[in-house]
Formats: sequence, C-alpha cells, structure tokens
Amino acid sequence: MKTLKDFTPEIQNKIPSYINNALQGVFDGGRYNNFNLNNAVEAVNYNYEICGFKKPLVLVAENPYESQLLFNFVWELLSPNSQLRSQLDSQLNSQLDSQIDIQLYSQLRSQIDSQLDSQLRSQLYRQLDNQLYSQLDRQLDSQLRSQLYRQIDSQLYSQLDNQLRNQLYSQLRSQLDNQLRSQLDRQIDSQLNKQLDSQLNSQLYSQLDRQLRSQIYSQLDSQIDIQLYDQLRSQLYSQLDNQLRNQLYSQIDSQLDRQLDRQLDRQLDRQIDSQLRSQLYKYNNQYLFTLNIYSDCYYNWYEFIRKEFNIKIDEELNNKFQKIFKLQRESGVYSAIFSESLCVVSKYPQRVVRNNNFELNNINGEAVKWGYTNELTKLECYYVNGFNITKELFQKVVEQRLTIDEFFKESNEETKSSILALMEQKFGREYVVDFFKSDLEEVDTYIDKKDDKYLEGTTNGMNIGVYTLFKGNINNTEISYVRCYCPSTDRMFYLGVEDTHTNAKDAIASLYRVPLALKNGIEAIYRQGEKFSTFFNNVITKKLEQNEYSKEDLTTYTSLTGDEYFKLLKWEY
Amino acid sequence: MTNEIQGINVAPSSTSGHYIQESKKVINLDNVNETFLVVGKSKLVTKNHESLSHNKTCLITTQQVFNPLTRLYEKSKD
Repeated sequence: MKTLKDFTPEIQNKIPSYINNALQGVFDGGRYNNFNLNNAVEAVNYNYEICGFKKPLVLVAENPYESQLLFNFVWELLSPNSQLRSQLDSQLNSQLDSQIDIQLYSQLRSQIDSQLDSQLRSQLYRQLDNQLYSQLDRQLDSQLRSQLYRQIDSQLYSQLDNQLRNQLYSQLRSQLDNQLRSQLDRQIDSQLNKQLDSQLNSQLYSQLDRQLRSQIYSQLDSQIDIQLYDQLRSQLYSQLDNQLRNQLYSQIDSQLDRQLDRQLDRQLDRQIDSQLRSQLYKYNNQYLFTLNIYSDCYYNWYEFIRKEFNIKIDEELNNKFQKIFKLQRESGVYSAIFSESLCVVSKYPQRVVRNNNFELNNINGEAVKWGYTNELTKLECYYVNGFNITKELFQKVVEQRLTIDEFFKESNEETKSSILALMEQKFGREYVVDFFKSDLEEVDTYIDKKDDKYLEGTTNGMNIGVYTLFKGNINNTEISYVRCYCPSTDRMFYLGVEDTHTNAKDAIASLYRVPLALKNGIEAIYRQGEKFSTFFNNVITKKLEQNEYSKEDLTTYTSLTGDEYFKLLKWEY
Repeated sequence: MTNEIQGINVAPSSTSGHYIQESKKVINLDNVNETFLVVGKSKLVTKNHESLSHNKTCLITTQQVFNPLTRLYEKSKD
C-alpha cells in the first residue's frame, strides 16, 4: 500500500512535466495542425470495437459547433418525417422553376432575334411576348420538368452551397461513399422504422429519438467505463491510500480540468440555442473519456500514478489502456458525438489565448480561434478572465462605443464585471474611472478590514473589503451603485442600491436578505458571489431542520444595517 | 466523468449556477427568491468564485440588487 510517505519531493517535482505533456499542442494549434483523418478514424473504430459495435461512419468538423450541426443534420436528414428533407425539396423546386425559365426563354429569344430585324422584333415582342412566355411556361412546365429536373438536379445542389443546409449536405456527400451511406441509411432507417410506424407524431418521435441516442451513448460510455476506467481505477486505487489519492487529485486533476474546456461548454450550448433552426436544435452533450480533450488528462494522471508509484497493472489491460489513449493523442480529435452508425469528430482549436490564471482571455480578439468550413458554422469565442461575452459586446467595448446607460441596463452582474475587466485590460484603470466620472459621483467609501484567517482562498489583494458608493443621474433617473470587488478573483462589480442611501456600509448591507423571523438568531454570514449562506443558533437551526416555520415566516424578508451585517460577515468569496 | 459541476443548484436562474455538494438534504423554501435550507455539513461550489465550506446546517439566500429603472429589487444573477 502506497501512502503519503511515498509521495516524495522528487515525485512531486515531476508533476509539471506531466501537466505540460497533457497540454502540449492544445493552446498553440499544434494538435489542430497535426490532425490526421486516418488516425482519427482508427481511434474512433477502436473505441467502437471495444464496445462491440461495428465501425461507424466518421465525419470531421472544424469545431464543436460545426460537429453538432453536422450530426443533427445527418440525423435529421435520414430520419422519417424529416422536416429538413421536405424543406430542401421545396427549395429545390422553387429554384428549378426559375432555372427552366431562364434557360428556355433565353434560347428561344436568341433564335427569334437572329431572324428578325429590330423594328419587327419590337412590335412582335410587344404583341406576343407575354402570350408566348406564358404558353411556354405552362406547356414546358408539365412536359419538361421531370427531364430537366434530372439534368439540373446536381447543378442546383451545388448552387445552394452558400446556405448552411446544402453546405453540410455537400460536405456529407463528399465524405460519404455510397456503400457507407446506404449502410448508414439502412441501419438507421431499419432501427427507426421498426420502432416507429407512420402514425407516430413528431413529439413521440423526438422522445424515442432521445431515448435511442441516450441508450447508445450510455452503452458506449458504460462499456468503456467498465472495461477500462473502472478496472484501472480499482487497480490503481487499491494500491494508494486515501490521503495520497486526495492530494494527487487536487494537484493534478483540478489544474488540468480548470485549464480546459469547461468554459466553452456553456457558450456552445447558448450558441446552438440561439442560432440553430428548430430541426437542428439539439446539443449533444456526450462525453467519452477515451476520445476527447480530457483523454490526455486521464492518461497522464494514470501514467503518473502507475509509473511514479510503480503500480502493477494487468498487462492486457495496460496494453489496451496505452493503445486507446495513444490513438486519441495521435488523432487530433477534440471531441466526438456518437451514435451506433455515425460519429462526428471535431478538431482542436487553432489557437487559445489565456491569462496568467489560465482563464480564457483575449482583449484583442477571439480567445479561442476555431477553424470553420462555412461562415455559418463559425464558433467565435470571446472571453474576458474566463467569462464568455458576445462578439457584439466585445466589439462595442474595444471600439469605445458602449454607453454608461447600456452598461447599467445589463442585468447580469458577471457580464458587467467582464466589461469593466476588458476596459481595464485594454485601456487601463483610468479609462474605467473616466467612463463613470461624467455621470457618477463618489459619495462614500467603507473598508471592512478582514481578519487574516478569513483571507484564505482570496487574492489577498488591496481591494478586498473596499466598498464605494456612487450616485448620479442618467437620463433623468437617479441612480446609486456600490462598487465592490470579488475577494477570490478581484473582479470589479457595480451593484444597484436604493438612492436613499448615504453611506457605502449601509448600502452594501441592504442587498443581503434573511427571513425576518430568523433575523435575531444569526450567528454568521458567508458569501459566495450573489449567494449568502446564513448560520443560526441551535434553537433556530433545529426548528428549521424540523420544518417548524410557516411558509410566510420563511418568505418574509428583511435586510440588516451595515453595522449588523459586517459584524456577522465572515467568509466572502 | 463529465466536466460539469455536480450537485444541487441553489441558483437556478443564474447562468453559472451555485451547487451544493456533500449535503444530507437540500430543501427549496422559496422558489421565487431561491432560498434553500441545506441540512448538515456541505460545500457550495461555483465556477466564478472560490468554494465555501459549510460546517453545519445553513440557509442559502440570494442577493437582491436595486434596479433604478423599475425602482424594484431583483435577484442578482451571475
């Protein structure tokens, strides 16, 4: 059994090299540039093989957003009652009409023109043109449509390529060979058709669709879990004691996790929410620990333990473990969406820019620069200190077009804080002061000097506990704000308070809320952003636990004075 | 096995969420103001701030900020 004693300084000193290895090529575009289709397909196939599935069709996208679109597009296109397919058909038909018109009309006109002089031509045209055109249109419409349809079909498809649907369709067609396409079609159709008859409505269909897909994902995930993850974990963990395990975990795993794509997931979800048409609106938040950006974290984590603590692992299992992670590393696959017959993988970003705290941050443009196949599949990622803001807002701030009115109308405090951080990083703190100076006047400052023991986990910075009350008038509205700083990140916030306040201490305290019935039993208040944790004496705590307060007791709130609040406020992050 | 923060979200209207972990029980006392009773020791975790340890039962409430345009208090969001 390995214990903390085995976690020697020599071993600890090796941690940075494991971290560097896990992150190599992630931020500088190395993995993007090294993307290799054959390796990606091999990596995907091996994962499916381990789970007992046949090789799927593998499609490649430039970014996770594009991969979501591609996956949903294919899924939608191949599904019965596809809205997308009927939309494509109707679009095709309307374009076909105009093509027939243009081709036939111009041919006829040039033949007639060459045989008539200009005067006669004008006269005839005035008399005949409309009739001729409408006759041709009517006659040809029925006789030639099917013939022309076949001839023009392929041309029309390529002409639609400035639109997302067709771009994706073309991409799909170029990547699919006939055999795989029909195989995919057969498999999905037969699966779905067996389960769904034509009488099923779309609601039921989508419910079944979700169930089907989640079953496949959970099968994949759980099978690989069982075969590799759980076995490895149990073998490794049985040889490490609990303390050592916790220490290792906090040193390696959390650092890696924080530096990677947790920040991106939420943005991706939002972007898909807002941009996708209803039939493509599905965010497949699927995760397989052997085939995405985190794979290297897991690999290095296990390798560190295995090698440095000399842990013995069953040879066959270790071989499988080495192979699956080697394939992921060499593939250049950032993420993947799975179904039984189709796997859409995304490449890594081309570049990632971060600040010194490893948060996504770029004041000169996108913090994460992804490749894209089409303008409509761009995934643009603007971040300030790890917080995602829209491209429009980013540009407004860096082009100094954002007004103070717009700033205060923003309802999300983190967004407001990110605006200030961007201004400060881009133009300096003086710019931020000037931004407010013409409209806001500083009225009062209160400094809450904290005991050293409550500074653990904070930045220890000079802004901790500094509250400044500002007052002003914007568009004939009296406004009052308290400027304060997050102790754990030093981010600046402007929080709205009633304009009756004359001092910063009472003003900031007025934002705290507690049920009136519990107010006199408060022992301590902790704060994490906009959430307060309030601890009460034993009598009140017991009554709370035993559900002895009425609904009215618990929903009638009051605030505290500045003196009351700061006497009780302990931890603040 | 996912990269999402796990736990019970005591800030459902917030973009990032604040999550209670390791608690015996979490009771929603007020849907509108997002007030929760967290029974026993627990941990409050969020993406935007340091984690908070609770050594006993506590009540979670939400900061209210004053909107000068509507002249009303509203839940603070991050």
